Amino acid sequence: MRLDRPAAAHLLRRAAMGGTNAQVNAFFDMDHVAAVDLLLDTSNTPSVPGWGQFAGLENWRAQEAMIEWWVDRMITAPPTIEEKLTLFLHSHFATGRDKVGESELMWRQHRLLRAHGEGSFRNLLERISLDSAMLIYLDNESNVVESPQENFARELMELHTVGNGRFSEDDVVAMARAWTGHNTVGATRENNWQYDPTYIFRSEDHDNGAKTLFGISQNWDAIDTLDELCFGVKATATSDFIARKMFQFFVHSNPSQATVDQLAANWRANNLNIKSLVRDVLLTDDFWAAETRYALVKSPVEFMVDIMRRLGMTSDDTSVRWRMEGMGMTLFDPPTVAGWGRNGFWLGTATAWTKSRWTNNLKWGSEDRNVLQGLDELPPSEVIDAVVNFFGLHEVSAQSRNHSEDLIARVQADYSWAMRYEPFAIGMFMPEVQCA
Amino acid sequence: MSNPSTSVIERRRFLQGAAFAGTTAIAAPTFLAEQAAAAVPADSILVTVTLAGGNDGINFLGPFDTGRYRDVRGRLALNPASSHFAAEGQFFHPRLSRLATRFRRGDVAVVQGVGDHGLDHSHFSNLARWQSANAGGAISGTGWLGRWLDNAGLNQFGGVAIGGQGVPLHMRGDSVDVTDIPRSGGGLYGSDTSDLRDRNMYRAIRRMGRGTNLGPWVDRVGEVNAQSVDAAQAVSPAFNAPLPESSRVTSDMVLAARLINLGLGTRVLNIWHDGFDNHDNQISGSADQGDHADLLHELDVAIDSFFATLSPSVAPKVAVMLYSEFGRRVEPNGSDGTDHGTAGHVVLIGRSVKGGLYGNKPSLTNLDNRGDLQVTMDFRRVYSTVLEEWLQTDARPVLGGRYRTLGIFDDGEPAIPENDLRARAAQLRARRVGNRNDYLRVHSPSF
Repeated sequence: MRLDRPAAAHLLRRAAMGGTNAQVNAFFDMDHVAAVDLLLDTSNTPSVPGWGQFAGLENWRAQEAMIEWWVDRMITAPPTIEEKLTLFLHSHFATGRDKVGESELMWRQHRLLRAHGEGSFRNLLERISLDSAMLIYLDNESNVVESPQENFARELMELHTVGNGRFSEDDVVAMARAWTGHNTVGATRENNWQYDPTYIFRSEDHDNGAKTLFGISQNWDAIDTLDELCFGVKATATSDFIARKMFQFFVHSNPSQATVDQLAANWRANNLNIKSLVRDVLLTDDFWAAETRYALVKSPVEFMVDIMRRLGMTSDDTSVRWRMEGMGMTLFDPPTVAGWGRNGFWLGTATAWTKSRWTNNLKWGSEDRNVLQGLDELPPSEVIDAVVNFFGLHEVSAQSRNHSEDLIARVQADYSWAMRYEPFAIGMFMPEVQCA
Repeated sequence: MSNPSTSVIERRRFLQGAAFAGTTAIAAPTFLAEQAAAAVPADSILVTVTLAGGNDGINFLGPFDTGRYRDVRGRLALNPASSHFAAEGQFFHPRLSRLATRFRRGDVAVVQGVGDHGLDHSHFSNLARWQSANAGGAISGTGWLGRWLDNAGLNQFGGVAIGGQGVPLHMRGDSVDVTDIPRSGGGLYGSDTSDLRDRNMYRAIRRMGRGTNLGPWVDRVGEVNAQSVDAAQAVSPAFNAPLPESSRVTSDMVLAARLINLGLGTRVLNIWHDGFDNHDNQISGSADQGDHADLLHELDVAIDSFFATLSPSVAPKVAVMLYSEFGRRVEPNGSDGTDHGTAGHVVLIGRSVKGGLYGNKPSLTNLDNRGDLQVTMDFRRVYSTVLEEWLQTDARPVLGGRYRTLGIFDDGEPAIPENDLRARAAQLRARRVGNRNDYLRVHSPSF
């Protein structure tokens, strides 16, 4: 299939963080499989800085700087799957600075997600589970044989692998026991009671007894459980859960069971290689179906990145963290262990007001930046053509078009001397701009 | 719109109406039932105040004059002489003088020993379980008031979250729109209608979306944008006068009262009062000073300011509920603070509340195997009480199980001690006959 411009724009909105009209043009007329493979090729993405870039900052400011760095990266990096996939994994393996404490640990995890997020899910699962941020966030750092802590054990199954309802409370108990002793160094006499978040396995704190997990009795240890979850008796459940979730993130909310089964089976055949699953998801018929366009609500970061890129802005030009928080999203601080939701999760009066307030703030900038200016003499339909083109829309509902043209007509009638910000502002309120 | 809970409510209203009309088509309601229908207003309002971080229950209300209390609390022990006697050997914290006065007027119910079994000590999972409030303890994407709102058939102001920090889990439902109002709400987009340019924009925004043929989410986004413009105009009068600056919780509670006064159809609101995770500096200097004392004082003032702001005609329709994700450990830690514990108090305040202490007084000697207070009251029983007696709905579909109610809200019946089983059974029978609830309450599944 050859990509027309609407299809190319759709692909960039979903698989990347959107794209300029020029970037859409670059994908125009490309074969859709080749286009997907091009976006999946991350071999030339710019490098990611180490912690040193943020090391001198106060903890809260470091998190803000990390958000700014990521948003700028999303705006400027050539479109690939890397940013969207990292965002998916950040929410899937949710941990937050609020509980983890040090921004540095969140940054380490972020680098880990980028470095290993496209490879084996099994490998990533192990690295994330034993990484400081997760050990702290889900309390496995204090899971010891004398007093097992079930928080991580439960979420490992419920949120990271098999999904709710596919394990028993007995499995939670056994899983927690299997993960005892996999802790952080913590504050010890040797390090002068300074807290050390580094992973450590202490065999004396590990439960070496027989445990019955998923009906299998043996001396389970943490690592064995991951193999069982990924490749053993829970392989079908895990692949089903992850394939469905990824489909819902990239395509739409209601995949058929047959589609999920097919994706999951292929994924198992590919040894749970994450990139192969993303590729299969992006190549489903559903992904390319007309009704899939705009079937998702943009998350605040997608919305802001797209608008900032179109306006030629970076994080220097607007308070990214503050605005995004008002829209309900703080990167490196998802609201719960379950990460961020989708679609309706992003909608509400307070978030709408924040978008409006941001629009109000940007609309004066749109004049300074000469965005959509000098259209006073054009008929309303051509003004809206320019708006639609500026925001890179290829499908616009009759409602959006009629009511925005009506607005322009009124403004032209009421204020013959200048139209000012209205073309830009009304574009910001078009529901199509806020959807992906 | 057809959904099960709405029809239950409608049927109940019909039955109550029928009772007053004196028809004999149904089992003859008793006099008690008529009183019940009159005492709790149909448009009752619940304000939840989430004491985030884990409120130290036995510092809030405790047996300050017992030796055991002084032994176990050490430097944290409060002086009963400067505290406020409540009942049954229990005192309110010295900085809760206004609440204590309200208690003596009979407007405050304190439910003791509230919590859940099988919980870890994490803020996240405890708060999520309290807010999800499912029988069996599952954490879900919806909360108890959200599930009620889903089927309550209210407008977008039916549920209001104060603070602009997102809709809290206990108010999230599958379909409900809860209006989240930032505290710096002045100048919300849509409220300024003085400029024709703005009015033209609002007009266009109101009309975009809905029936777009671009799928349900494009429609929905347009709808929410339109709602936000309308809502800004509706709530802006609440911001006309400056809000008090003495504390955030006072400001938020005054804002809540003003929003209730606007009569927008609000039935439930939430306010956050943060900072109760007092691992250190719970006290500083003396036991009645420090972070916890400051928080309680702010709360005390906020509650008074809230009721003072409510217009007199609305005040009887309002009940405030204070809750926290857990109480704290009985023994202080080494930093003049307390670590995460278990059971705590849930407090209900309002003109329609039958004041007093409910549930068992927490024992400072009979502790659980970790040395924490025993949980003697399932928090879902309190919720069931609020749902059944105050919001007048069937609690079963909301909580996913049956929980015995506590008789906290003024239904025209005298309060009967919980251990007077014979009187209680008679009361329950009377209620059943009176169609106040269409099933006989059974013992809660977990306790």
